[in-house]
Amino acid sequence: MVSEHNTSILENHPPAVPLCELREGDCGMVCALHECPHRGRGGRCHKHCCRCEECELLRAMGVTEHCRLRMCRRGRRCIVQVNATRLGISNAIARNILVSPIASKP
Amino acid sequence: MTAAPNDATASAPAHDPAPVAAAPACFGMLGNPNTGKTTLFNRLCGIRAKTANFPGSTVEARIGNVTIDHQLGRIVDLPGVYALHLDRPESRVCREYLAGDISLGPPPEAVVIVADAMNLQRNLVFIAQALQEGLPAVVAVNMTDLAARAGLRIDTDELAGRLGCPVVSVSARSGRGVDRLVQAMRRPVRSTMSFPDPRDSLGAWNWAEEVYEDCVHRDPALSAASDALTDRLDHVLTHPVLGLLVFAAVMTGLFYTIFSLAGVPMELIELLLGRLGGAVGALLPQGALHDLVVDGIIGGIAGTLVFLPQICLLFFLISLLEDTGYLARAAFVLDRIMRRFGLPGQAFVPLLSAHACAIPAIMSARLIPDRRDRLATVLVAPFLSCSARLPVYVLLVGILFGDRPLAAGLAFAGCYVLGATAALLTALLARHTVLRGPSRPMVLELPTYKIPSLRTALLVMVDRGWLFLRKAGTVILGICIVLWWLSAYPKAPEPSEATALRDRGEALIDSEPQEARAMIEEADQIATEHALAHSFAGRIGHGVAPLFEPIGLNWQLTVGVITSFAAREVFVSTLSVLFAGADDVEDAAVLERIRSAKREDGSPLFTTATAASLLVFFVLAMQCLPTLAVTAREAGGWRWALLQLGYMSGVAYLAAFITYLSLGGGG
Repeated sequence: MVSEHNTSILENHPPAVPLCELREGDCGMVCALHECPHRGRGGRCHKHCCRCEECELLRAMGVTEHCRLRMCRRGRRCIVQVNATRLGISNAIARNILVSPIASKP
Repeated sequence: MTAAPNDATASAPAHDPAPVAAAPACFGMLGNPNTGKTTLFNRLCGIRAKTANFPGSTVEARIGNVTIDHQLGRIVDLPGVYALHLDRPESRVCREYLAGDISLGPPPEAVVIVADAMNLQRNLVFIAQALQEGLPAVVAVNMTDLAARAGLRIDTDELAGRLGCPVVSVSARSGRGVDRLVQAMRRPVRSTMSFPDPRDSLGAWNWAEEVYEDCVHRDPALSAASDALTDRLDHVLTHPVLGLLVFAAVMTGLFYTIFSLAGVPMELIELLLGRLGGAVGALLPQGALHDLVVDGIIGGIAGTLVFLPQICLLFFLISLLEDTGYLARAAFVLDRIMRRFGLPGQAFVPLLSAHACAIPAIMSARLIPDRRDRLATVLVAPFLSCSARLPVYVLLVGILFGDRPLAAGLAFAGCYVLGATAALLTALLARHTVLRGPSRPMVLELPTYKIPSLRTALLVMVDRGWLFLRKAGTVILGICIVLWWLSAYPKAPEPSEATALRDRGEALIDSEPQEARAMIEEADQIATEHALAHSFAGRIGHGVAPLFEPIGLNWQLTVGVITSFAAREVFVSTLSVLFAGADDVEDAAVLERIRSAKREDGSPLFTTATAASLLVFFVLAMQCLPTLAVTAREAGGWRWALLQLGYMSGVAYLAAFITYLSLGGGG
């Protein structure tokens, strides 16, 4: 089980990369969920991206800043594990989640 | 106290700040998705529950009763949500229901918050948010048996102390701990603890982690083994190629089961209602009341009930699959393909089941969380070739390629391909026009693998079957009665030609019985054709025929198209009655008579151009009013059903016209 929502690992962490670039089996710590850069009038998003609504959902599902996750399957649609939750996430969202790779626990 | 599989107990908070005097009369049941909330609800309420929509929305809740202290308490099973503050329909109705802004009967006096023991940390964030709503609460930590197997032990005493309300360890699947939960529901407690602001996700998660560390004891070896098994299964089931192969195998098995098992009850329903019609018909004198009861009402009920076995089996099997955790994996795999057409991966199961019948397919589109995705699926599902189209395909492909089995097989397959192509292209078009808007990118929870609950699947089956009968059934029945009336009235006197032929046949019945029977059958055919031609449907057929002339149809085929609005297969029996005076379409002689039917000018009716045009029309047309009724209900209004009817009829007409012209029909 992957756990921990802590800030201690943030110190000396390697540079953040989009979640979709994390290798299969590797763990990472979420640095940021990008807010939607394509919001037009009325706050609507006009592109397929990680919209604010999706960010809120991700946070409710456990993908919050400083949480630790594990890449279970990499691809255009990836599977990540946060705590005991496995999430299938499309690339459009995964590329807007910045993670800092960390060594996998034995 | 530590919860283990055999230790189902209720833990009260260390200090009992705000107990409720008497057992509440109404509970709201809340929880994250995939916490086993519905299984627990079914365990508490059994078969007595009913499904209702929240006012002004398509979001559903189940309402049931549970006996607490010899008194019936009401429970409303709210939709599973990840957080109450999200801008999603499910979250909105939960918020409004708890605040008393929308009503499903009496307002909730307390809540039962269901949490997944396997995923308690995330559930704690939700519990904290739900407790801040201010209602007295009981927390049910579900699936503690599975958690124990995965090496997790939950200290419910400690947890109750941290949450400030009773915590009960339960296993809804086995029923363990449910009695203790009912006892705890007698005295839910309004928590006075302070919790982090739910919108401060980092604060909420840090709080949840702290509580989790204090209340849950882990066996790392068992946890790792559980993760490894899930990894291995996911490796196969979510693989881009292997995952598709597994999905194809699972769906083949699903539909094979539906077709092979539904056949017997379907035949039984037809047989029993046929006998009922005969028995009731024998009691009633011949006349309008007899025809209304036997042909209109009992015939209409038979036409409705015959769908029921397929619907029940489909929902039973889908519930089993969903319960295993597989359905989410299938949606994950198929999302790649479906997204190209503006549909989510979850749309595949409804679209595939539309090959059996569009009605359960549209009903099962409720699995799709996004409104636009759900509507697009509902709108295109009837394009896929359902089993009701099969008799029409058999007839028309037989007319086109009766002596060339290979060409007939290809034409048959072509019908399915044409329907599927039209569905996918229409979905793409809809997502760029009437359902324009950003596709919701996939964020999908892949729940823990579990052995499915047969009890839950049976209850889902009963609930969906009943819902179909209660709502769609009444509309379908009404439509059948109206169509029967249109094709049966006004009654026309039997033509003299038929009377004379029948008289001659009856005179010869003793001396030449075979020839006499043939004469009587021919007289019946003339009389039936005459009656239909003079009925309202026949008159409409004559009136509307000019509209269908450009695609090669005469008035009789137009009547067939009109009557088949009740159900597509009615087209074949209508033609049989019109051209052969019998409705036994499996009789080779009847088929031959249809094939060799003539227009009024003596030219063959079923030329290649006419038959092909009619075939294309039936592949694409929305010839099923019961489906329209279900679309209106599921999409939330008749405007969607009318759009579906108009669009599909337009596409079908245009495609049939092009087919007719390109095969030389116009000249």
